[in-house]
Amino acid sequence: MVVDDVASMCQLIKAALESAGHRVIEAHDGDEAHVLALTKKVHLVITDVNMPRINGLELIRILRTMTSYSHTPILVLTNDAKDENIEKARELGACGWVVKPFTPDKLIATVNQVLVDKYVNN
Amino acid sequence: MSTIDLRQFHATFFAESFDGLTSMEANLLRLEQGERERELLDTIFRAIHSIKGSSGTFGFSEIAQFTHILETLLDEIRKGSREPDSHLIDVLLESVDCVRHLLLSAERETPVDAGRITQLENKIAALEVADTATQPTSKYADLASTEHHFHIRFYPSENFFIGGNDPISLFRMLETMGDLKTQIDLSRLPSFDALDPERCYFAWQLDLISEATREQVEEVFDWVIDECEFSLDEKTLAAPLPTLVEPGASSLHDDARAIKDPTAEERRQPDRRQVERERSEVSTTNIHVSTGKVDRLINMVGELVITQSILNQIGNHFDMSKLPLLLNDLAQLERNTRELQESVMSIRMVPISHVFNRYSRIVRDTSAQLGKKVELKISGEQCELDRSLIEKIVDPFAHLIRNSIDHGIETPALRKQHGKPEQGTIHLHAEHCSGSVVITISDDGQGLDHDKIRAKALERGLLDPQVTISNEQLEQMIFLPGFSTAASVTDVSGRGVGLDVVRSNIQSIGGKVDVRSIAGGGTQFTLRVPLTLAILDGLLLSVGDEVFILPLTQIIESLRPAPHDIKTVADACRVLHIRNEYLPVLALHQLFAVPNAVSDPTQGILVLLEAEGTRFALLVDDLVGQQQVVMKSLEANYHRVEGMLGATILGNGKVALILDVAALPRLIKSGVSRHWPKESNMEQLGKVVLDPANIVKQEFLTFTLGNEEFGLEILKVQEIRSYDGITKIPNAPSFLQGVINLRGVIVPIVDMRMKFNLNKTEYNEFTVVIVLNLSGRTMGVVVDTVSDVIALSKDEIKAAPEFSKMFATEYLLGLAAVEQRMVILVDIERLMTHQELAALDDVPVQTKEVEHV
Repeated sequence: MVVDDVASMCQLIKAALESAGHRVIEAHDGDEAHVLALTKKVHLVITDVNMPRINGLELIRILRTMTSYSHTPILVLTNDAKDENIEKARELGACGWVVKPFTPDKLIATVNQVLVDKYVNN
Repeated sequence: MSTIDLRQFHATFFAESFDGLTSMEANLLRLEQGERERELLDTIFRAIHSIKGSSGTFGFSEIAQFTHILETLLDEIRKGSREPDSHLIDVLLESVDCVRHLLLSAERETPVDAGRITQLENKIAALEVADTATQPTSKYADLASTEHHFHIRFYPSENFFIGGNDPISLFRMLETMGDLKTQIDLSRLPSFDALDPERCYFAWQLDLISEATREQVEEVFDWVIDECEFSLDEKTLAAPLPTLVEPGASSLHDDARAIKDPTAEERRQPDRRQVERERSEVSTTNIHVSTGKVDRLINMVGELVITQSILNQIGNHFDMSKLPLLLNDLAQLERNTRELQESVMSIRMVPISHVFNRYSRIVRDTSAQLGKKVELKISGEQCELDRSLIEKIVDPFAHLIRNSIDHGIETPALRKQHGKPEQGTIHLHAEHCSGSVVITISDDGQGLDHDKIRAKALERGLLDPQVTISNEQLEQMIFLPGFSTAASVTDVSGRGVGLDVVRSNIQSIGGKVDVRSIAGGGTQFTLRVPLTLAILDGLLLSVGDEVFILPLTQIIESLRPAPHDIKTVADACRVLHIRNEYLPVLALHQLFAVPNAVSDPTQGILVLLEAEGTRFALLVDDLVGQQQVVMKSLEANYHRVEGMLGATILGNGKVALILDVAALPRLIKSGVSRHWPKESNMEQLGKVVLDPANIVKQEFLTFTLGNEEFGLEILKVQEIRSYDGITKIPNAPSFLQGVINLRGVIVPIVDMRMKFNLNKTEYNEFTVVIVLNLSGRTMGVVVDTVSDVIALSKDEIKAAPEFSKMFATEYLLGLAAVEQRMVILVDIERLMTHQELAALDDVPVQTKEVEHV
């Protein structure tokens, strides 16, 4: 699941991951992601941090309280590698981050690595 | 390896970025008003934050760089370490314009005005410096001391590209982190014949000055570290960045920068007009549609499909017993179609707040520029209007608003003197009113100065000194071409465009503009525009064998007059006597020369119409019915026809023209008196209408060849098409360009320039072929451009003097003066059937084909 209020980002991530063979669902804010999470189980969540209303950190907190999402790997998207939100996200249970700007290849590699670590190596 | 083409996301990126800027601008203005909600600052920050994040990813590093600076600034405001005073907001608003400029340049791939960016960056840097000067311990000072200078040696392996890596994208990433200088090392480049395009021979030495940490820089190279030689030297800069100087030394700093950067010294303001143009160019090419509306559409399409399959069923096994069923389902189909139509139309409807919100910036900038205090009030902004209309009213509106601030609202001192509050008010209001949207722009300024208008009108010869006219009529005169009361042509509203342009723009979309004014109490402009351009409620009228359509909203009533209601004045003029008013009767059949029409009003129908404050009765044969019609533009394939809004296709497949009510009286007046306010007398108007010499007009299509304008009778013209697809014919006379295929007919093409002994020119996209029908024979002539259709009465055509060496006078119908231009009227029939053209008949190819015609 990709969560970003910026539509072009959402589209890009979806297209990139789909080209690598993943299935992707999109949500455009924390609320929508929360609703989707109630009905769908995914292997990985990628969420932007800075979003209106429910932001990315809040979303991670909500997801972690749900049984079906208590252990789903979560990647956060951030503009800045020294963003203090990365640390906050890590504390809330995110497993990694992707810094914008990124290339599709880098994104795919990160996602694949996370998925392999979680579902193959575990 | 992925092969994602990032360009597919660009359209979305631009659209959302422009939206973000618009909301940022609106929120900055709210911030300036003193609102300090947390959410407000967050929204402003988020707009820039999102643009920065995506622009880097989509490869627009210039935008990413600039927005990064802005983001830092906004973050400080958000965190409360900087107070958003009006100077800061000025800079931020200018930055919005700047980002918009960057986005537009990126979207159109046009060059960026680098001077403008640098200048603004310096302004922002100056803010920082001012800050460091006053608070040496501020956050930025700390940051400045953490600037690092990284020296990077980056020697990719020869197989670097094969792994799908791109060194440029790495550099772009570094660029977003700070100031980057690259130096390329070509020493590994082999001779040309040994070159393998798939291998990487280049190497780079990079110098990066950045706040980033060593780890962050290394992270950029994380993914390629195995495929290159890489080394990173780092030293913390003893002194901060060159653009930053020690606290307190800001005057020195200014000098240094001025020398370094001449654009800063010039204090070059970005061209206001360009900024505004860019603001309006970011039009709503994308529309946001609520998912609710889309769901409704999908439901309706579903119903339509069901109805269609039911009808199929009935059709497959039809007998008369099923007729009620069939009728029932046809009714259902009609309902579905109508609902679908309404839904589709509703998608095009956007709230007028889209337009209104843009004006807060104009009001702010314009009033500041003129030293006036103006508050903008907005109401009714949730009114919805067709998207294409919204685009068309943006500019006329901006003009009216500027006009109100410039000419309407007085200076604070003057207002105080008159006992008004120092701050003037401009109120924008929109509301729905029977099929139209009515928008008013009212100000509480000084109102229109009737004496000034009268003086101006007399000076311009627009008004006859003998005639007394009411103040209301005087006020209407400000919409006349060439009328401008501005004592001095100001930068603000005296732009060489008058209110006449506003009026014609609004009229071109079927709207009306009106003005009302109270001396000393303010001015109110009222604009009435149709809800939508594409569909209108029409009344179908028959005249002779033709069907015309009148927009229903403009009809006051229709009636069949009794003989005693019709009075004949001065032998020929007919007026309708109704409720103590005398209205002139215009006969549509005379206006458009339609044969076999009813000419006696008591046998036909009079439709009462109002346009531009003039009421009149239009004589038609009969009313056919009322119908929603889809308006098609005539301009798309033909050109604008005076008196017509457009055309539509009727149920029987015939084309019907839609009348432009406002233009009808003008159509008559235009041939007689360009100074119509002199003729405020209705009987005069009536006489004009019925004078056959003025009504029976001949229409000419005008075209240009070099500097000359020519006209030919429009009745001879079959169609106008662009110059392409011409096949040359061997051994043809030189004036014969070749032949074209016109829907299966081979048509010879003659170059008019050759015919008139003018120099040949290059054909370009304006070059057109006029296809003529001359005594049953089709031929095309190439001309430079087609310009206009003019209607001329007999006495407007003057005989041609014996002047021309270009061609003999026998081929001229005469000369006509149209406004300031002279048009040479050509007898195209004689010109083209002249004996040299008989040579065409000797060209075997088209003689044969032409006989088919």
